[in-house]
Amino acid sequence: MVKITSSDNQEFTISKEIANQSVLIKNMLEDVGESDDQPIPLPNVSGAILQKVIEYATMHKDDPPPAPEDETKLKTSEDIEERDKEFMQLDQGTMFEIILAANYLDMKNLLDLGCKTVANMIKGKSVEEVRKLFNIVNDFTPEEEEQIRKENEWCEDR
Amino acid sequence: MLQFLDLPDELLQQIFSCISPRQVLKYRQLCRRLNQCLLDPHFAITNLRLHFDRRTSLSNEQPSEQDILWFQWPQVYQTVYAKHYISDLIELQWHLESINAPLPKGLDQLFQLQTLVLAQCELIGGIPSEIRQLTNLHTLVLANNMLDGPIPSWIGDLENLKHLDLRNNGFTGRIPLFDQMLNLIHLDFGRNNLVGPIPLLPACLISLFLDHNPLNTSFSFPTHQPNLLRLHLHNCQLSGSIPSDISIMFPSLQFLNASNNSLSGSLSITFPATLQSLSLAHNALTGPIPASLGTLQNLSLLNLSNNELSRGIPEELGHLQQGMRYLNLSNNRLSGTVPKSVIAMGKAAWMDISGNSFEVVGGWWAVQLWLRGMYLWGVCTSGFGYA
Repeated sequence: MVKITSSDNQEFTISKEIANQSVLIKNMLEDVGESDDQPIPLPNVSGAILQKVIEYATMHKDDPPPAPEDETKLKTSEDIEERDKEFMQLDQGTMFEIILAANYLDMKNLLDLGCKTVANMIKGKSVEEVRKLFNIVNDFTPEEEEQIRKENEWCEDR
Repeated sequence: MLQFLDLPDELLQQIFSCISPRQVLKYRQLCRRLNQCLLDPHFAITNLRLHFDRRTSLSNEQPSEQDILWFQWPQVYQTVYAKHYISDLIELQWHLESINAPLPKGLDQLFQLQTLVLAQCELIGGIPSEIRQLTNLHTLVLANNMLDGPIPSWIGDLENLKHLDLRNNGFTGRIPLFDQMLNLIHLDFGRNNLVGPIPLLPACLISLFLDHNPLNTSFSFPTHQPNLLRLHLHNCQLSGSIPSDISIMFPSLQFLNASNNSLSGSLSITFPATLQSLSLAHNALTGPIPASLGTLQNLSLLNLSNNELSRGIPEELGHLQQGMRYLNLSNNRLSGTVPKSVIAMGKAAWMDISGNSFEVVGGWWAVQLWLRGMYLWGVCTSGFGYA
């Protein structure tokens, strides 16, 4: 078993196969050696988020390792498993926290899932709808906006 | 609560890279920071890699959807696409319907390209200097577009070029010096807005089309063109006379069209014996039709209409009976009687000698004689008693 602590000092004890899904933790374990009993500090992840991340890792602990050609394979954001979709039914804030945590912990599958989920929220929406969805303030001058609009004419109706 | 824009650029890019390159760039409009993120070359590489396969075929076929996008994307995408997807192309010969965009960035990545044909695509803008890097090009055809600006003189550095066709665009300025292009055989700059004079051209040229340009110069070439077969100089605002050494300048010439200019002076010069087609209509040529035209054994088209040529039609023209298919001497100041041998040409050739002042047997005075093919031939001969 492996002990990890969150930024707010919550301690979690997880199995090694779950821990190894994070490349960051896996490398740390290899560095410090098996015998060390000290909990691994994860100062960038809160307890609440770490809880969710462990939930995801537990759900996927029996997955086969990704095939090496996965990197070059065409990736569509539609091919999300049903259980992962359910897992990502979260408020925006938590979702972004999970993306940050997955990036920090180097968990490729979870990071992909988070990014695809957010991309799916954007896809098909107008610029104005996305601004509203994510509180994005239009900071272009009218001239700049017109310029980009002109450059984008070809993809307006896509 | 953590906001979308609290994520670092790298993660925002990863999110947007999941959206197809067909649509993702519209989100450049969200805000400045995202605009920057989406125009980052690394983002373009990732985004394209996740959604598009590398082109597998290397030659001439219909452009794929992404090939068409190449013309529409921002320059960053254009460069990445050219470098990573189509850099192996040897032949690029696409018909793109109404693309209404400039030639894309990244053409210099296609360094194996031998043939670049993008005609009738509504391309706009100038010829990008990136094409200068394509030293293997032997065919460059950008005809029938809306390109403008000068024709860059560096095209002369593309020393393997055989076929250069920029017809029907809006190119302006002078015709550059291309005398170092030792393989150029076909040069077509017709229907642009180029001005003269006609520069030194490579001796290997076989066809030269400069028609429909306001060259506003004289009919003169700096040096002789031993291999030239076709020369189109119609509608070029040429003035002055036809060079008297034309058969030395163009010893192999077969087709000469210099109609619709302001050429003046006499036709009493020796034309290249190889001529098959001679059109000098709509000029201001004066004097008689030279009898020597009758020695051009291969001549099948002769159009001298709408000039100020005078005196009679030389009997010798009738020697060309055999091969003549089109003879137009209309609207000059020709007079006298029409030689029988010339009238006889009307049997096989399209012929028009109207708008002159010929004397006609049978009580017809200064009749406009207009023969078209066999039917009219019949009507007229019975009227004129030439049979």
